[in-house]
Amino acid sequence: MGIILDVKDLEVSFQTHAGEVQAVRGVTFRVNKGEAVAIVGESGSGKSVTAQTIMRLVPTPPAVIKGGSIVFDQNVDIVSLSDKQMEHIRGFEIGMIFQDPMTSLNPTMTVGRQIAEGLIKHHGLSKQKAKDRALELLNLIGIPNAAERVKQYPHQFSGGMRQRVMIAISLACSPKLLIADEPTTALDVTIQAQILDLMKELQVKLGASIIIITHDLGVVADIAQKVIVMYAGKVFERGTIREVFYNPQHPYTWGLLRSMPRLDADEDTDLIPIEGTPPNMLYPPSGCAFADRCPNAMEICVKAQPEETTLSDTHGASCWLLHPKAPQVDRGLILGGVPR
Amino acid sequence: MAIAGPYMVKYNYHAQDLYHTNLWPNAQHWFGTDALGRDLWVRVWDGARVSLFIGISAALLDLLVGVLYGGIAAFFGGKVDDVMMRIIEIMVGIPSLILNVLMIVYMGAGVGSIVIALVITGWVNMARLVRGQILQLRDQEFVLAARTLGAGNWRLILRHLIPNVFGIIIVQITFTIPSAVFSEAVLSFLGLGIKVPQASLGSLTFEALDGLRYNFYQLAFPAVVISLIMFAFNIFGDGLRDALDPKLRK
Amino acid sequence: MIEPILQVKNLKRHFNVGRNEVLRAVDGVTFDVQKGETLGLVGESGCGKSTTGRTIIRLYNATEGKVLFKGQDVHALNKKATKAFTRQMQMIFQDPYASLDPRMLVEDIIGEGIDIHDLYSGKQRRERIVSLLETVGLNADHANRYPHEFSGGQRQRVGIARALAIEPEFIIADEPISSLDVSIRAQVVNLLKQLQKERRLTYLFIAHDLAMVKHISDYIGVMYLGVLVEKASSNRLYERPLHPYTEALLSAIPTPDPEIERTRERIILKGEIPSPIHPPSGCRFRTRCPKAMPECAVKEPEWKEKEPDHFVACHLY
Repeated sequence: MGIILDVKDLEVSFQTHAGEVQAVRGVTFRVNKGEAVAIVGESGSGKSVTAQTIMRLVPTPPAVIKGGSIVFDQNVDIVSLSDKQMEHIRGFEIGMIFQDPMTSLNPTMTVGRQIAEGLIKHHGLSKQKAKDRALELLNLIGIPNAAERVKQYPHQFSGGMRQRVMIAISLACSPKLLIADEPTTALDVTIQAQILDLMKELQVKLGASIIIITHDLGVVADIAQKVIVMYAGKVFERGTIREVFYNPQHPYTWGLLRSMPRLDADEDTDLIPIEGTPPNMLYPPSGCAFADRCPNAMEICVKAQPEETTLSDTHGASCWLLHPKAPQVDRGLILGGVPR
Repeated sequence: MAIAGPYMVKYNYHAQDLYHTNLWPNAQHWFGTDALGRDLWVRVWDGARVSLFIGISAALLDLLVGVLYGGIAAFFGGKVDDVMMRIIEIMVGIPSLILNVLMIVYMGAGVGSIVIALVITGWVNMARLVRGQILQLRDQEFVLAARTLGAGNWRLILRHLIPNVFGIIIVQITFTIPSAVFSEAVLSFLGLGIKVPQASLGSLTFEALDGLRYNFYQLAFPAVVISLIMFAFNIFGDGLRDALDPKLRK
Repeated sequence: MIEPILQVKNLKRHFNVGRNEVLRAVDGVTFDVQKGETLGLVGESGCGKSTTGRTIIRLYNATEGKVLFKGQDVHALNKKATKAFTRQMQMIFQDPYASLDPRMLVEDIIGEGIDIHDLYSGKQRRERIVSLLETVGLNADHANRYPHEFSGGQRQRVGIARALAIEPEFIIADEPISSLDVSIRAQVVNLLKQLQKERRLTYLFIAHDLAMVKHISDYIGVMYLGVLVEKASSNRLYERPLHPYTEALLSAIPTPDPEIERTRERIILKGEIPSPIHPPSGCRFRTRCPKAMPECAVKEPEWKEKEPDHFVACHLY
C-alpha cells in the first residue's frame, strides 16, 4: 500500500484588492494507492482550492502557495515544479474532472479529438492510434454507438453524457490519481447514480486513486473509503467513512450529520441545523473558525486553534474537546436523529 | 474627479469666452485669426459650445426615442417586438450619412436640423441596447416576484425595469455624445452643417482647409479640441459605468 | 368532505419553440391540496414541476385544464378578484441572487406587497417590516441595506419575508434551498416549518432533493416529463412506491450512512432523460423502465387511485 499523494501543512492565499483571502490554512492528509478519498466542505472551506492547487491550476498571481508541501507518488514535489514539468503531470499522471460538464468541454472540438489530445501529447501516440484508443474509452464509459459519437461535438451530448466524456478524457492517459471536483452536483439524481456507479467500476478496473470533492454526504458514503471534512481552510476531521460517520469527534461533523435529511428517517425527527454562517476568509478568526457557531464552544476555542488529535491510524480530529482536560460532552442525537 | 477634469477645464474657458463672443474682432489673438480676421480662440470655443450642444441634445433625444421604442418592444415581446425590430433593421440598412445629407438638404442647414438628422439615424443604437437589457431583465426572478405580489405593468416598468437599465443608459449617453459631435463635425466638414458666420468645430475645420499649407494652426486647434472632447467623454463614461454599479458601492 | 384549498385538474402548459415544435412542459397534471398541508413536488430536469408552480400562481396561462383555488378558477378572474388572489397566494423563488431587485433596499423589497395592496403606511409600515425581518431571523438594521450585502441564506430569508408580508394563505416554494449551502438548508427549512405551524399556511414545495422534500411534506407528487406518475403520503411513497420511476428515484438517492450504502440494492436506470419536446409515445417513462411492457408504447397510462390516497399512472396496475 503505497502513498500516492502526501499533502502537508498546505497554505494557499489569494491577494485581492480587499486584502489577503486565506483560502487554505494548513491542510494535511494522505491518499493511499487505489483508495477513494472524499473531501467534504461548504463554500469557503477551501476544498476546491486545495484540489486545484494539487493540479497547480490556480493562477499565481493572485494565488500564492504560502507554505506546505504536496508530494505525488512519493518523490514528485508538486509545489516546486516548473510550469513545463507540471504540464507533463497534468493529464498524464493526475487527471481532473470538473463540476460543470456544460462549460468544461471545448465546444469547437469533436469529442474524439478532445480525448485523443492528451494521448498524442503525453504518450506520443500517432493520430490513428489515439483515435482507436478514444473509441475504446468511449465504450469503456458506456456511451452507446461509440463509433458515431466519437466524431460528434459536445453540444450534441446531454449533461450526463458530457460528464462521461470528461471522465474518458481524464482517464485517457491512465493517470495514477484522479481528482473529481463536484462531478455530479450539476446532474440529475438518476444520472448521478449512473456516474457514481461508473466511477466505482473504473476505480476497480484501472486501479486508480480518486479524490472526490463534494458537499453531499450521501455521495461520500457511496463511493469513498476515507473522508476529510474541511471548514474555513482547515481540516476538522479525517478518517475512514465508518469512523467519521459512526464515531465523529468534531462538533462540525456532528452538526453536518444532524442537519442532513435522510430518506429512511422517521417523520418526527427534527433537522437540527448549524446556526450562523461560515466566516469571511478575508478576516479569519484567530481561534477555531467554527467557534462562533459551535454549541460546545469553550473559552479557549475563541483564543487558539486546536492541533489535530490522533484517534487511530486513520482517524484524526482538530478540536479542543479532545484535549485531556476538556469536559465530557453529550453528543446527543447524531445521524439525522437516529442515535448510534 | 480627475476623469472629468479636462472637460471642466474647457468649460471654464467657455465661461471666460462669454465676454469675447460678442466682439468678433478682438485685440487678443491666442489662437490666431482666420482668413477673415476673426479671432480663432473665440471661434474655437464658441464652436465647441455649438458642437457640444448639438451632441448633447442629439444624445438626449436619442435617449427619449430609443428608450421608449426599445422598452415597448422588449416589454411586450411577441409580435409587437417582431414588427418593431423589423423596422429597425430596415433603418439600419440605410447608410446614415446619406440619410443625414438628405434631411439637411430638406430642412436647410442649421443647428436644429442637424440635431434632428442625427437623432433620426442615431436612436437605433439606444433602442437596441435598451431592448436587449429589458429582455434580459423581464424574466429575472425579481420581476416575476413583483408580478406575483400583484404589481401592474406600470409599476414593473417604472420601479423595476427602468432603474436597472438606468446605469447602462447613462453610460451609453456618454458615448453617444462624442459620436454625435464627431458626426456633426463630419457634416460641417462636408459643408452641410452650420450656417456661416456661426462656428462649430466641424465648420472650422472645413474653413481651415483652404489655408492648410500655410496656416496649419487653423486646422490644428479645432481638431485637437474635437479629439479631447471625445477622449474626455469616453473616459468619463467608463468611470461612470463602474460608479453606478450598486454592487461595487461598498 | 372539506373542499381542498387547491384543486388542479388536468393542467397543461405548452410552449411554442422553433417552428411547429411544442414543448409540453406540463402535460396533464391533476392533484389536490388540503388547507394546512404541504405537498411536495419532485422530479428531475424537464419534469415540469417549476412550470406547474408558476402556472398555478398565474405567471403563465394554462394551455388546458383548470386550477381552482378555494373553488375559483384562477385563470378566469377579473381584475379585482385577481388582486385579491395575489394576497392569498405567494411564491418563494429559487435563486437568492436573482429574486431580489438589486437596486432596491431590503425595506422596500419586503414592503412592495404592502405598498401594492395599500395595507399600511408610514410608521405602521415600518413596524410591520421590522417585525417580518425578525420573524425570519434577521433584524431591523438589515432593512436599510441592498441585497448584494447579504449572503445567499440571508437573501432567501428576505424572500420569505417578502412573501409573508401580505399574509397569504398559500405559499409555493420553488426550489427554495437548492442554491444554498448545505449547512444553511436546514435553517431555512426549519423556518418554513415553524411559519407553517404559526400561521396555518399551506405549502406547495417544489424541489429535486427528495430527502428534504420528504422531511417537510405530508404528501409527495412525483413528476416525469410533464406528467405526475405517483402521489402518496411521504411515508407511503417511501415504504411502498408503486411506480418504477419512483422506485428508481428512491434508489438513486445516496444515504449518508456507509453501512446502508454498501449493502442496499440499487436500481440504476439506463439511458438519458428524453427531451420534453419529443416525449416517447404512450408512457413517457417506458424508454428507461425496467418493467416496460408492449402496452406501454401504445397507450398513456391512466391516473388512478390505486389505494386510498395513493395515486399512480402505470400499466402495471
